[in-house]
Amino acid sequence: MANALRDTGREGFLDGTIDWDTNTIKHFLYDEGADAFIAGDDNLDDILAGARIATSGAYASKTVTAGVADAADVVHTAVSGATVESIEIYKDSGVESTSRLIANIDTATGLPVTPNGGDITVVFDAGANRIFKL
Amino acid sequence: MDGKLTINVKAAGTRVALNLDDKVRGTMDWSAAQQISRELRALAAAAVGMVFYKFTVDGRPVYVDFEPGLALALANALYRCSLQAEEQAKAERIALDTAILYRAGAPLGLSNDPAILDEAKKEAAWNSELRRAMPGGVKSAEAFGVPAVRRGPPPGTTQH
Repeated sequence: MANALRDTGREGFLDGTIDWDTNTIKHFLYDEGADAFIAGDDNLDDILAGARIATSGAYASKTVTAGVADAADVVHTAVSGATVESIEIYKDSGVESTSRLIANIDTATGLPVTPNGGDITVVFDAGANRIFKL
Repeated sequence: MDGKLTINVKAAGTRVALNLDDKVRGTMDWSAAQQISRELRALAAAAVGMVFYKFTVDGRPVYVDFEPGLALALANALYRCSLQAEEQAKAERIALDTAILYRAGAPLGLSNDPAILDEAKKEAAWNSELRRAMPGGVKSAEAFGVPAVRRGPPPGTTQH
């Protein structure tokens, strides 16, 4: 795999279901060993809770300029659990079955990472593409 | 009928027009023309003398005899014209298939008909359903940055 938008992410941006800078956007650290990545997964409830090693708070400082999605870096505190292979970004609707999966990032410096009980920080790229560019 | 038989075959849109000395005169669809062509070829190949063939004109049989060479020439002409008629009958399908090639980046036309190629260009440019026929779909052009995932020290340890 490679970093990629989910089909539901693309659809959401096109049909207006996902509004990056006003919706609640989060990610979780994804243990793909517990629940393998499936491209057809569309909502949060498709990923086993046990495969979600840690979930971020709502993204802050989000921007959409020029179709480039960005947000402030995220710190997960005191993370323990199985090895994390990827980061799954989703829109949190408050209900798992309607929380659309947006993108999966499995290519990142430091991935896979095995939690050791300490903090895990996700530092988004400061380059032109930031988190992703549509 | 002798060897002076005048044969006139041409494609007319999606049909094939045939005129044999005004004795057999009419149009047929492309598949019928191909069927007659096949039968005439087979008869010409097997003929010892003349080739006798039964045409059906307006529901009544009309028997025509050909020299084998003439039967073969008529078979070839019918087949050639039937392909032109078939191309027109399947113009929409050919345009869509050509559009898929265009969309995939292969500028290869499946027809020499400018009208079909023009339609293919329009389909390639505007048909939003075309992606369903693309192998693997149309690739998205999104770009990702490469984030860094930093693991801090475990609890109870001091980072120097």
